[in-house]
Amino acid sequence: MSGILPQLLFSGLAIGCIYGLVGLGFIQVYNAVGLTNFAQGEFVMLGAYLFVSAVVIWKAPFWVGFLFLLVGMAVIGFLFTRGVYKPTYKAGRFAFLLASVGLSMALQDLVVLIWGPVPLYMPRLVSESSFNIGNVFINPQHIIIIGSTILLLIIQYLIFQKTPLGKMMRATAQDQFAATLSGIKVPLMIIFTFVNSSILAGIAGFLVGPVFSVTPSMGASAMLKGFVGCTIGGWGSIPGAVLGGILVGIIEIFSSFYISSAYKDAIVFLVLILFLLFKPKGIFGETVSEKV
Amino acid sequence: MRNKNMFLRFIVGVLLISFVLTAGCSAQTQTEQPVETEPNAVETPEETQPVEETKLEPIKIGVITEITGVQAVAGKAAQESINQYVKELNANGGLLGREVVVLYEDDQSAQTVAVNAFNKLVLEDKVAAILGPLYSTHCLAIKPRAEELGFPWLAMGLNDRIGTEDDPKWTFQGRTSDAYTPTLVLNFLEEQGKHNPAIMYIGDDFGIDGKDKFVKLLDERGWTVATIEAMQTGDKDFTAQILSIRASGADSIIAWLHQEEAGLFLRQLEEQGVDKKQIPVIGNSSFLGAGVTDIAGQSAVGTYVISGTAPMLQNPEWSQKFFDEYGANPDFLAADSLDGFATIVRAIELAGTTDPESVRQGFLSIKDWIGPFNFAHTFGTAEAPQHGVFSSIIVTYDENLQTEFVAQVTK
Amino acid sequence: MKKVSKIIIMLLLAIIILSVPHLIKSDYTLHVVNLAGIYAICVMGLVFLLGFAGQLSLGHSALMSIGAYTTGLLAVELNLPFVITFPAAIVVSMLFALLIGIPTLKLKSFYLAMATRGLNIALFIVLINWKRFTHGADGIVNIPRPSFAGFTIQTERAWFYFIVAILIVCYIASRNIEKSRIGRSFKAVKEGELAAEVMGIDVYRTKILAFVLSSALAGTAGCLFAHLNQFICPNDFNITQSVTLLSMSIFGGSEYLLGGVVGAYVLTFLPEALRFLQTYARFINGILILLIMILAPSGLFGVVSSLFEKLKRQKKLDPPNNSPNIADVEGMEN
Repeated sequence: MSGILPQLLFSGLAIGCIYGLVGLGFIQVYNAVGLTNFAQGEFVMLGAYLFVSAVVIWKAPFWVGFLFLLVGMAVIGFLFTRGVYKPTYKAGRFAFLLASVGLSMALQDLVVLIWGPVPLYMPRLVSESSFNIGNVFINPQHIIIIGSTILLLIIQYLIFQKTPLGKMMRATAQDQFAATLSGIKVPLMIIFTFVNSSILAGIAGFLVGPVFSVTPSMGASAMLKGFVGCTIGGWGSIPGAVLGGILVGIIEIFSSFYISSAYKDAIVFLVLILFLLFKPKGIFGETVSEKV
Repeated sequence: MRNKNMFLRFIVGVLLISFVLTAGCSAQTQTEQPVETEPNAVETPEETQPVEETKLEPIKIGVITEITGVQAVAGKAAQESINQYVKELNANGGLLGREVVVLYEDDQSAQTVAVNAFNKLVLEDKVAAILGPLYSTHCLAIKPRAEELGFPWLAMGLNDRIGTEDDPKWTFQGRTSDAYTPTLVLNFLEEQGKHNPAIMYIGDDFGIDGKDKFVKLLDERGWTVATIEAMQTGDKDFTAQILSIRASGADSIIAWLHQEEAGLFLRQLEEQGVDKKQIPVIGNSSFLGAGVTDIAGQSAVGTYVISGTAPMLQNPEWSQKFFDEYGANPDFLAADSLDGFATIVRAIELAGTTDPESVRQGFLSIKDWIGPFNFAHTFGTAEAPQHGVFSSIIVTYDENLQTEFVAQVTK
Repeated sequence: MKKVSKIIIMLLLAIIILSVPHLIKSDYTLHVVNLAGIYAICVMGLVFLLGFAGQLSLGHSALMSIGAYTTGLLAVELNLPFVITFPAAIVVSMLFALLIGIPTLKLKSFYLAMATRGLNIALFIVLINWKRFTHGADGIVNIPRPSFAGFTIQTERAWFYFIVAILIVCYIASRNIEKSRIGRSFKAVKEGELAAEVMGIDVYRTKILAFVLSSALAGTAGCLFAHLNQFICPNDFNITQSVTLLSMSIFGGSEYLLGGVVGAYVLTFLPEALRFLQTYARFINGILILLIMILAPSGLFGVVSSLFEKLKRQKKLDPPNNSPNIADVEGMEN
């Protein structure tokens, strides 16, 4: 059994990438408006359901389904900004947090009402069977997940660093007041940020669908792990969020193999508490100060 | 300031009165209880007499099931199969010449709500008997209340403590209890010549309880346990657990999981190169769930499943009727719920009337009754008077993902 | 005059409260009323934390479970009487809050939210897996009814008075804390941590104090829950339960103790009353939180009291050209 270590690393990396993608959505919203969206996990789930509806139920081709997912998630992100963020952000610090908690609960049940409680099956892009390199069994979907995460990170980097839109969004995240003064339409930038983060969540749902199976609760635990990932990586650092997520995935799988699979989740949260105690700013530190 | 003082004084006053009343009420309980039972005793005959006069009044049967919450799959299946059954029953003259009305109560997949639902059905809706939830913890939460109220109900949970612990009088168990299923599983593995199983369980009440039963039994038989691995509800990746099983040299796998995890587990076993022909997998009834074959696909082929019911094999005619009505094949949840409901109907039929004590006697007089799924029900045995079912069916998935009969096993 | 009318109102209130169990004949309904009373105690703790000190806990049912398991284990395993297990439950849940509060309250507000949610999950796993100690998933059965000096609180009616009594004690204590210097420092922290720091308030300690006090109330509620139901298991204290507690506190108005109490009673009865909606019940619960936060973040009591103030001010300020100003002030307060 020489393949154990690489096998664990590979699977941990793939699952960790999902946590990282959820964390990426978290951190963009956090940087822009200083808030955490508790419905982020449910956006992951919605992405998967949108894709499954298009491809499995309406029998649309793959690329149509993906387009439908992108457009659908953009609309959801927009509605979320208008319907939840805008009316609540003035009403104290917790109105938005609690509203998103309520939304996440309602969405989970809404999905049951629309699609039923039975888990749905999402078809894969590539072949069903895994192959092996030496002793390591490789699930092709895992490779897709890892590859897409890298691709998405590059795309995000290009958008934020090279395009005027990205620069305006960054300016908004750094200082809304100054951004307004220099003629940036801040509310529009906030909408873009939410739309971007919900599209990221939707793509995460599309990527994990074939591995996770599509269920109402599929996003809930990824959301929590994504949050832990952000904390470990450091709120405010975008690569930190992704690396933190990957770290969580790896910690999870290693503690599951070497310590106890029953206490795995408890161990992950123990790590969170330890980080909060000894390194509250995370590995990459925090660059953004609290916005009130 | 004065106002505030007044307010305080007032509150202290209410407080004192409350405490006195608390004490008063608690003191009363010792004397009040026998008094309270007396009007009940008078009431019971009063209630049954008008029932016999007005024969058209429907018989109400309560069903507590999971309509919302994490286990909502079960509630949907139960409602579908019971509704169809009752429609047919009423068309054929009903029960004791009376119409049967089913009252569904949601337990929201939560114990407290389940107890509230039970209270409501007994005290407000005045049903004749109750079909309990499929989940053991909900049944265990209801049980003390049922015993306290003295009301007959059929628990559908699998835990053996439901029917045995504290010698219940009013709680009956309508599915093969965990006192027997693990033994049946080990007998099956014995036949296959496997003595070193790995146990894979879901980390909730159901899975942990099953795991504990197996560990105890394996110990009694002097077998070894290769490894014991857990997964949590909502977990998606089992690489670590499967690697542990592979590394442990297990010769078979006992898997006690829920539907979704069962499907994912089977698929990942295949992906990790575990050959089910060499290392047979035997799972609990969840492995027959509708979602399992969807998720696992061909990886499900060859998996053994032990279940109380396998409707497509035990009653193909009914399965076809179910399919015609709902456009989907019935799963074990639909069949289990129907079997339990039919058992209650049988008990009331034998009782001839609907007061709690008669229905209880009705349950106890069910002997060797063959239910809708072709296996026997017997209550009131000396060994386990509250248990009704002692057998299970073992099936496997064939190449077309259809269930294939392996054995009907009886304790 | 005013005084007399106040006394009459209070007397009426007292009579209503005391006669509730005589008006409600069904034990089922009374049991739900009692459960609501227990939740009300826990929700008052949330009001402390969220409404006064501005800290969000998403795992309050975990703290409730600490109280419930402490009393349950002490009573069942060691046969200790209620007079010992009750305070023990409160102390242990306070210690737990200290343990969680110390690392997380130094940080930004949403860390506590996530840490408590994490605690909720981790504790659930421990409770369900550590069978030898916690009885695992089967839960603790046959928890005895509390008894003092030969009296046992047995019937639902007795429980009603008992719970109301404890609810009132908790209310008075909380009310006094709210009015005291500590309560004012809570509110200062909520308004702005930096400003509070400047005013000489130790923000970190104040937040910890709020969390610990809140946990004491949760522990009290958990303890009563265990003895009322005589059965507890890990599932009684899951994340959904935490969210329900939270929605109770914001429904009534998270800044008002009585609002929390009203919220607890209304939202315990709502699902029971909405049983006919079945599939939609949980969905409605989620939507309710969302809508309250969007339409009336100050909750039922907040809306009522701001209406009252508006009326009062309109009486005082007759000139119409002043009214836009009032609207501004209202906006600021929210």
